[in-house]
Amino acid sequence: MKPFLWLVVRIYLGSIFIYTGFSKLMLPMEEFRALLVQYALIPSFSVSVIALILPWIEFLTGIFLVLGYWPRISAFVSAVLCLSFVILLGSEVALKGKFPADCGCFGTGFIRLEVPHVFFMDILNFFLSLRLVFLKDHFLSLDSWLRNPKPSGPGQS
Amino acid sequence: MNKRYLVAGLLIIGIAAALVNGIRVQKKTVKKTQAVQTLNQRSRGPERAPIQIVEFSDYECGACKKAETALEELHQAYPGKIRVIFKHYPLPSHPWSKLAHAAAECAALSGKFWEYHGLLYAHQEIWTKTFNPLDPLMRYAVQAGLNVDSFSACLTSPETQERIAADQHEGELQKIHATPTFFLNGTRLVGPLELKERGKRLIDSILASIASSSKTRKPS
Repeated sequence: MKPFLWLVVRIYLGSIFIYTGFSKLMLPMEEFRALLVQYALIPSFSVSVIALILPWIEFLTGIFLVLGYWPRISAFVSAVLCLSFVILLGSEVALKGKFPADCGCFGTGFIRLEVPHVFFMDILNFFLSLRLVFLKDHFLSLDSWLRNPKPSGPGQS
Repeated sequence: MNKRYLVAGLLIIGIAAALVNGIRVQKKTVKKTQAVQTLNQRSRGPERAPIQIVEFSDYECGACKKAETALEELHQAYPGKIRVIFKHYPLPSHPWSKLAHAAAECAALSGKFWEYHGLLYAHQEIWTKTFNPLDPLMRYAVQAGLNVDSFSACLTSPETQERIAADQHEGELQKIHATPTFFLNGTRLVGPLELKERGKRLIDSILASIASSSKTRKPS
């Protein structure tokens, strides 16, 4: 049962990153840049680079997680991203006393979440990603198929 | 690294990039410069100014008020070089915004758009926090020297709403999600900070390139 559970977790995390990355990629870059400017912790010289690269990292990490391509590395990137978001949002509360009105986390798609909800979701996703990093075998993953292109059964953690 | 890994990775990245770029190209229905070419009554500055700024703004948004100061500073720093074209972009999250835009549009019909526009931003904290913004909006109309009867008739007229909707539609085609958004000679700038910092650099580089090209054109 456990391998199925972790498969669901992997697909859940991957889907979130595909969605957040894709919705940002569909926006003009300047829109995302304007949202990043509001964060005190992000140095202004790096805002443009982050606005350009981050949506692609999110989108590709999501695809890799769903397909199970390099799942442990992808899960590690996912954990790093979630932790960065938690630090970023937490620093806004620490410095300004409140969350930003729009964190820019979900682009402008159909999913609308309040920023505190996103904050707690990022904490949860961080721990889930971290658990996937330490999972040795990922059930129904491209990774296990590439290592051994014969059909494989559920793996063990 | 296994060769199969590499091929699979490149294939995934390639397909993902092609998919995103394909959708992006399909969605690009409006050229960047289209907004700049559209003329309306809500503009200030010389018609043939080298710097054309199209502003999509919302009267109820705090960042738009801040951007007005940044715009004013640019006007003062580059006299006669900038033309600003205002476009209505009331956000649905702001309850009184549409009414305020209608009021500004009605002021534009009497040639008092910029006076009224200034009053709306100057008193933003007042009219946005009242239960009935009509009273302060009428007061500003009197202050701007507008005819109150024609102004109140204009506020509810469908033509006024249509003109605002036309600007909003243009903004939607330009994929505007945040106000204020500016198009400085076609380059998108979002927010007051970008206008102030990146806008100034852009203006300097545009004016410098114009100056250097006019120098080379002069006969020796």
